Amino acid sequence: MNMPILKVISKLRHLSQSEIAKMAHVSKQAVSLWFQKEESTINIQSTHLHALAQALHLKVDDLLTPLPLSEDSPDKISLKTSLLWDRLYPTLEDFAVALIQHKLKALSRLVEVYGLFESQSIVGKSIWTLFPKYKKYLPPVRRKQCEALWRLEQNQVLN
Amino acid sequence: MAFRTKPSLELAKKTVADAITVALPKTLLMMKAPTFVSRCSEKDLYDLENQPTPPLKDLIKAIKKLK
Repeated sequence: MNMPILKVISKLRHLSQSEIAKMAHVSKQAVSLWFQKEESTINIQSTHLHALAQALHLKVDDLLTPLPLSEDSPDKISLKTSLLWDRLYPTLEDFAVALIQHKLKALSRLVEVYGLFESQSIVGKSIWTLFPKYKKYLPPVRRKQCEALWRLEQNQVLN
Repeated sequence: MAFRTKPSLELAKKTVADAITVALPKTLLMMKAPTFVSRCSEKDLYDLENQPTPPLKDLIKAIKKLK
């Protein structure tokens, strides 16, 4: 089973290790060991894998196929350098989960690096609707630029 | 033929002894700089329009499926 996927699922769905253990019909200790291992794949009996997939309403394949950017490719390193230079989130997957959950600091970092329009293409319209909430996390100069752009966009929407 | 131009930055061109007009360095610089700036802007616009999809988008798409 692919561990980065299970870690992402547990964060996305706010699942504890004991809840995962119940779903996979294994002990809490076993799940704790899975999470401690540094390898990206772990060996697990197919019956447990099926049970876990079923409980999560996913296909078995979903738990086996690695996520994009799973290996330390130049793309991933470059993204981590530009977005997580200060370790705002420990991994790129954590950052992506935070963006999906509309965490304000994550949205602000994305806008700081990519700008409002490019960020909209990545996350969606929430970049514009949540701007008043996350703009306080933007550096002053960037915030000023974005505010001007945001006002223009709002005027266009209203007209 | 010997050029006898003085290195003056005040004049745009200088006619040397044999009636050949040459442009002075400042003039050349003034002509080249706008071209250079304009070319850079073109390049910026080109890059903006042809930006590849950030790989982060694919990661978010894949994670959303697990929600």
